Amino acid sequence: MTRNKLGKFILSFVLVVGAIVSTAVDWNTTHLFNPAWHPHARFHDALFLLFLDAMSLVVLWLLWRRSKEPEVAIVVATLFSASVWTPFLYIEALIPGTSLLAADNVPVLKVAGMSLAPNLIIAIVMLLLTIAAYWLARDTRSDA
Amino acid sequence: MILLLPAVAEAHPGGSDTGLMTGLMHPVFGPDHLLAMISVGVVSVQLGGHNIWRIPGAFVGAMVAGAVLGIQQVTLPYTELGIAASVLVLGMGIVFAHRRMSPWPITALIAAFGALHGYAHGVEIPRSVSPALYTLGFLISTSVLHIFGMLIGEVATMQNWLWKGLRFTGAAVTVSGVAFLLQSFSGTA
Repeated sequence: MTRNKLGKFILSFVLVVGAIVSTAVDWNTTHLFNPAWHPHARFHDALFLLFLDAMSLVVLWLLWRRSKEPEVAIVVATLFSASVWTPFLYIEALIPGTSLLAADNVPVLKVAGMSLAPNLIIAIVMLLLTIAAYWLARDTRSDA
Repeated sequence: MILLLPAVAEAHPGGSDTGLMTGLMHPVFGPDHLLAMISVGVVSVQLGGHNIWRIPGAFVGAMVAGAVLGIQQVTLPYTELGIAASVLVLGMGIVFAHRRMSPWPITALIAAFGALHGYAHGVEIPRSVSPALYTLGFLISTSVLHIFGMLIGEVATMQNWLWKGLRFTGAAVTVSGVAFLLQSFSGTA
């Protein structure tokens, strides 16, 4: 298997798992069917999930279709994945009143005085995998 | 950090996502699971070619079968010993694996280890979570750990000293496997 193909497989894994995990953790009474949420907030959560799932499929198609410029698909897949997961790092700071946590009593990981929400940890892992996959996928010469 | 992760597993309280988050974090709890799963990724790169997807695929596939047995609470003796042995053997794999080795016996052995790890996850499923989401969670987590192992293997191919360092790391994993085995023996005695 070439490094390029391994990188594309890892990018595909990040896309598929990102869509599945995001949908699975939100499609329940803590988020999408939470009666405490305003119906329009639930509408926006559903909009995000369905958009994410559909776009992930589109990017997967782009990544694996025959193309004279396969490197463009790799860049698009990398940027798409980064655009999904980087907002976890700054939304709380950018928009006052938002929270990474679904409830106040959610236990978080504390490292060196910093609180790391579980979804933040997942986002960091996904970003690391995306960067590594890009590094592998842009190499079209050597064997893995 | 690993010791603190159990708290994270309870991150989304209530609802069906609890199973997914618990499953996602479960393989990261135990250093034996963690070392074995990362080692599978490293060995797959060392064997090269189609083994890069075949070996992790066999491990994850067999995990599902093992998890079903575990969730059904079927009794399998000596699973902890088998898991400890998997760390030892996979550590030795990192030390000795190369591209000319026949992949099939190794694939079969790693699949057997996968079944044991899957069984251990399945048997420890909390009663309050969805078995399907919990299984999905630890399969995803295991796959991520395999990928991290692959990346370690790939980086090690870039420089000869890194490759040698990887072999030494394999020896350290082997020693950890011996420690886990001794711990298991003392636990069963």
